[in-house]
Amino acid sequence: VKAARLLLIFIVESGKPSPAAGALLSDPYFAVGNGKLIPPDSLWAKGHRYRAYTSASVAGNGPISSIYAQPIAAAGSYPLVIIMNADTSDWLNKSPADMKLPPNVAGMKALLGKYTVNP
Amino acid sequence: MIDHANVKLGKKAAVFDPRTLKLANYLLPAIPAPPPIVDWSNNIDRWGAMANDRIGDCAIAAPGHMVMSWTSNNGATKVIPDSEIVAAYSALSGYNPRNGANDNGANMLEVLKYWQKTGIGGTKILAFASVNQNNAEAVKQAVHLFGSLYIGVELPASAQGKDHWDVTGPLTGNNRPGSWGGHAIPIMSYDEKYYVVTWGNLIPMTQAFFDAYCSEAYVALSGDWVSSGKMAPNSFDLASLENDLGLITG
Repeated sequence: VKAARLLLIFIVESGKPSPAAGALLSDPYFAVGNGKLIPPDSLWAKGHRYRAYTSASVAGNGPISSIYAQPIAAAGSYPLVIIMNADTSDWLNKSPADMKLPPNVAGMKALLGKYTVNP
Repeated sequence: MIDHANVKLGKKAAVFDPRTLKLANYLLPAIPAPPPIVDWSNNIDRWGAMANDRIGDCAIAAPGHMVMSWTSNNGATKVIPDSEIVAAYSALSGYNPRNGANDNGANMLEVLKYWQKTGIGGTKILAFASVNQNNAEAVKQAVHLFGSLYIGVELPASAQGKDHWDVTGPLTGNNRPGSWGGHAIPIMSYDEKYYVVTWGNLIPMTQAFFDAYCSEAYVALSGDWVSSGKMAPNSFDLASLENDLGLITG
């Protein structure tokens, strides 16, 4: 079953910049908002949403740490992406291979195509 | 096009209170780079001047435009009537709308305190924090996370009549910061430029102009942007924003 709307959680390791993750997330595909600047084929314009964190901001006993503890443990390394159903919060990409960041937007769309009809 | 014949400014010189929370102390080490493009203007085409075309209430009009943007991205657009914007300006500055006395502008930090404690047009903010305007990444992250950024600029005389703000030469003469006056405006969007609402219009501002003329910047955490149990338009919930901002709101 593919979700209509996805919520993606990107987590990179604190203090260890990932040039690949930085390049991916700086593509206009990851534009955010509801105005004229947003490309019509962007993730946002298709109805999906995402957040980006560092490992430090989701660690410890903070208010959001428990939400992502299980997927982070499953992925085993950073950077990672957690793909969730935006409407139910169900975690979808439970395969560790599918939690690795693709090298580019085309790879990202191919990955999301496994979990939504509208990547 | 903006009719600059009668527009007003109205931002008093920045006042730095060491007790003001600083966003950088809470936010920046913990989150990655901001998105490449953010646009919370939501295609609003009639912002309204909120009386800043006739009096120097820009420091209050800017919060009014921020409320418009927050609410338009989060349900039904709320437009604070000009009468309530002017009433808040009067309360803060002593401006007398009957005879025009004391139309001397307002201080942004005082506006933020008033907005938090008393409210503007029936809206209150939960918290606010200063942003280091010399850190472009922090500025963009603030717009992304909090739906707008409340900034003060020391406008040059050379900006008069322009609907696109860019640095046009050495910062002397008509390009000198403040040679026109201080102005408070909200950033609603950015790509390679920033987009600000002033005198009822959304206009672009280059990074160079921002670097040359921005003198203060603040984020406001608002229940119009995110309320408990409801996700903000940027997909963050209040707990996530509090996690990043490190604030207990109330």
